[in-house]
Formats: sequence, structure tokens, C-alpha cells
Amino acid sequence: MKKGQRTVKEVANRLEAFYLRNRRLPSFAELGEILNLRSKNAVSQWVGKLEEAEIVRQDRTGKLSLGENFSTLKLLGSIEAGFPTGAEEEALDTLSLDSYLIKNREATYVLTVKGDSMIDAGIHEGDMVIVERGVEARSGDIVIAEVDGAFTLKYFRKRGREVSLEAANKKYKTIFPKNDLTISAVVRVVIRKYV
Amino acid sequence: MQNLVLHLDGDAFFVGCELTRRPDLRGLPVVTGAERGIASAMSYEAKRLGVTRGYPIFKLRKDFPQVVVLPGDYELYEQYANRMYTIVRRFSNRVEEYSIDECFAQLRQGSAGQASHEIAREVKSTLARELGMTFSVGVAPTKVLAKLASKRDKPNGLVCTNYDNFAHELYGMDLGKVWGIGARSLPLMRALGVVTVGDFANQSESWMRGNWNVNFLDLWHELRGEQVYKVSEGNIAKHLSIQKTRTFSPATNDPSVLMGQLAKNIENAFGYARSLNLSASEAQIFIKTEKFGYQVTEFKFLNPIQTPELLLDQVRKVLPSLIRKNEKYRATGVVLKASPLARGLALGPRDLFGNHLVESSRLAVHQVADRLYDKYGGRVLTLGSALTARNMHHTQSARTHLGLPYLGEVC
Repeated sequence: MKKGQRTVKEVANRLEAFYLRNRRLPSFAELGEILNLRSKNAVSQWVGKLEEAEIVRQDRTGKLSLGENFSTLKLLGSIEAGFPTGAEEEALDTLSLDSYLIKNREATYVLTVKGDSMIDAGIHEGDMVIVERGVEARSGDIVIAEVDGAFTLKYFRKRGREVSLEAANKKYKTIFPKNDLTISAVVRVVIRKYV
Repeated sequence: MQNLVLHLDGDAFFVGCELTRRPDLRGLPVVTGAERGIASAMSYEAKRLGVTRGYPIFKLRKDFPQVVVLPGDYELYEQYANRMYTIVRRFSNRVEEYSIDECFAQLRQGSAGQASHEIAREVKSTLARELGMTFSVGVAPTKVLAKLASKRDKPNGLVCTNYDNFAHELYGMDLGKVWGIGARSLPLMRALGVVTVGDFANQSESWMRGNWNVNFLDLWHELRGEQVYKVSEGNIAKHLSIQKTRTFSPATNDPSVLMGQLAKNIENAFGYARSLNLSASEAQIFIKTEKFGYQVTEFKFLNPIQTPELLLDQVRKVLPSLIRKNEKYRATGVVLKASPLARGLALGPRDLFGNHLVESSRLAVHQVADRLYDKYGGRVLTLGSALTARNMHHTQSARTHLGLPYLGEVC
């Protein structure tokens, strides 16, 4: 039988193709279609294997979500002088870039950086920032704030009751908002691609 | 133990999505639909001016020059819709994805009274916090009542009722607000002195049976707090707008280049429709000028289709007449109106002239291409007509790579 020859890796690849296309994991019925399996039992056996390999997880309602090993990039730790020992490498484990960078997907957005107002924080024009909405900004966070109907990227500072937006560039003055300050989101990740 | 239904409805949803990346437009009259030539969604400020759905854009520009007109971006709206469903699923394990800006959720048994009120409040505030736009929420014993409740205090409304007070809260509303009571039956009802929801719900069953068909009887039960319609799990989206657009450079008015670009978009849109098992009954294509103007045209298909060839033929015919000599174009796009095929009709309705046979053989070819796509993660097999689009420079948006809504630039 064809089914017996299939490996978990092959199934995982199909799952990944589905995910790339639909940006979600399949339902049991859809997984049956992907794998050409009619029986529900056979599908759930595969789900069991995928779960064991931590490629997917199942929630209370039986829906699938991404497991730690789904589409993995190997994380080798920070680069230091010397090489990581085997033991260290194991301890760090593998994880997907997505789950490393994004905590709450539904609240996460992307923007492109323009200008040099955050240059001393290492954020350059053309960088992309991944931001999270709906979280409270703490003093020292880099935030997306709304000033005069436009988004601005600045350090959020809070001293007692006074709040301000501070650039990471001497050329720009610190902004002390007159009315309420709207913080749209908090910066979680900065991405720069070297191509 | 009470089972209550929650209904959620985005406030001017498309405009709400747009405002998340255009804070400068907040509080202004804003309309989407520039790419269609008619208003598809209006901000409440625009509604107040008297702009209605379907208002022609050229007329709008003349009548209300202060209105900001934006092109629709269905990819963004879909991203937000999916987020909305996912967030609601945190609170309920039975969520029905009713449409791009609406869903129903069954509130768990035992979570009645005060608790369901709290859940509704939390769903609403989570959506506002994480998505940055407002939704109107209604809670009631049935779907029809819940949909009515979400409408009562729109926009940004929160109306929570239960078995004891739904009549008090909702029966004073106009009958026209009820889901399923249309423009045809409303005047008849009014003539009979049935004006409010309460007037209708308090009629006797024999009056209902004697005068109206079974659909109205269902409504009558629902409005009396007796569940007829169940909240069905999963996504049974009635229809979906699938949009594919690409911006390219340099700008051009060469018909063969524009056709290639359109072909690529059309191919991708149908590929996406097939992956969702949807077929298209209507399509719009547009070409966008350097000055952000749009030339639009629409197509209707006799039978719903899942393959691009028919549309491509039609586009090839009309495209030359769409292109203006003194304009250059920098983007093309297609929007498909797609819906699931009826059960048992794997290839849509049979057709006297055998069109379904043509469609079925085309579909077989495209399904092979889809399998290759699944295997190699890209369109390895592509339409010849899309070849000219291959070597052009495309400006790709960040969201295509990351699958996250792109909010634009920040200084």
C-alpha cells in the first residue's frame, strides 16, 4: 500500500505547502484530501505522528496549530568567539522564525522605516519593523505613536505623569504631546535584509 | 442554563481596515471602491453626507468633492477578517464565519446572564485593541435576534440581551432591520399595521401560517427567542472577493504587456479560488494609471468557473478599448466574486451547449498544475499568456512575504 511508504517528513512537506498557500493548517477533512485518505482513522493516525514529532499541536476542539518543529530554521545561538559545543546546540533546540518573532499573531503588523530619526537605536531607513497592537507601552520601549494624523517611530519616555516621544538622533527634538498621546503599537522586531 | 448567540459586525469594515494604516483620514468622509467605479463601503461621516452603497464614483467626485475615495484592497480586508474570526475563537469553540465582516458565535452553556455580557464586552474590546477598529456586538437567544441586537446601537454598539429581556430591548425596532425581511415584504407588512419587530413577533401562529411562507414562520420563531437557525462551525463563507493586483515598472500602455500582467493576476486568482474550492461567477479587471486613475470593466459568467481561460478570452477582446493612448499604466488587477459550488455539482451546472465539458477538461489541466504548485511551492507550470509578465520588475508589498497586514511607512 502506498500509505505505508509515506514518511512523516513527506506528510509534513505537504502540510507546509498547504500552509504556505492558505496561511492556516488544514482541517481533518482537508488533511484527508491532501493525503488521499478516505478513512478518518488513518488521518488521525498521521496527526498522532505529526504531534509526536511536534510538527503540529491539537487544541481542545481538535483543531491543528503549528508545533515547534513546523518548518524549522535551525537556531544556533548567538555568535561568539569559539564554537558552541554539541550540548549547547541541543539545548537551544529548533524553532520556527515566526514563533520566535511573533507572540500574538492577530495583533501583529509590519511597517517600513523612513528617515533617520532612530538611527542611533540602530534602526535605518528601509528597515522593517514588526509591531504589536493592544499592549501597554513601558518607558523605554520603541513605539509607533500617532502624531498629527501620521505614524511616528520613537522612544516612549514616561517620567511621573509626563510622557514624551524621543528620537534616537540629536537632529530631532523630543515631542511633548499637548493632548492625549495615542500609542498605536509597540515595536517587537526590526528586520534588515542584506541582498 | 441558557444558550445565547453572539453576533459581530464590523463598523464600515472596509473603511475601518483602511484607517488602520491611514490615521490621517480618521474623522473624514471616506469611501472605498475607486477600482470598481462605485462606492463599496462608506465611513459614517460619508454616510451622513448622503453617500450610499453603489454611488457612482464620478458622480461622487462632483457631488461631494470633500470625500476621500480609496481603491479597495481585498487582501487586507481578508487578513483582518481572518484575525477577527481567530480572536472570536478564543472565546467560543463554535464560530460561524458568516461574511467578511460578520460572524456568529455560540456562547458556552452555563455562561448566561452576567457572564455572557462580560464575554461580549471582552470580545469587543480585544478586537478594538488588537485590530484597531470598532465592531458592533449583539447577544441574544437566537441568530436573528443577535443580528438585530448588533444593529441597534451601531456603530460601536454593544447590546446584550437574554431570554428575560430581549423583547423589551429589541421589539421596539423597525421591522425593516430584521435579517431576511426584504424590500418586497416590508410594504405589505406595513399595510397590515405590522411596523415594529414586536408587532411581527406578537402575531399569532395561525396568522403567520395563514399569510406567510415558511421562511417567515422561521423568522417569527427566531424573533420569539426560539432557535431555528443553528450556529454552524467553520467557514461557510457565502462568497468571497479574491483580489490579485501587481504593480510594475516601467509604466506602459503596450497592450501585450498589460495583457501579460492581467493574465498573471487572473491565473493566480483562479489558483487561489481552486485552493479554497470556490468558483467565480463574476469578475472585474482594472488597469491603473500613473496618476492613480482606474479603467475598470466587469464580466459575468453564465456558469461559475474555476479556470481562467474564458475570462482571458474576454479580457483580450476588451482590453484594447480600455487603454487610453495618452495614459501610461503601472498596475493591473482582477477581483473575482467567488462562492462554493452547490453540493454534488463538482463542475457546476450542466449546460445545453456542453460548456461544462470544456470547463471540466480545462479544470483537469489546472489541477495538474496545482499539484505541481503544491509539490514545488511555486507556479512551475504557468500560462503562456502570462509569460511577458515574467521579466518585469515588480514592486512587491511586505505582506506578501510575511503574511501580516502592512501599515505603510513610519518616520
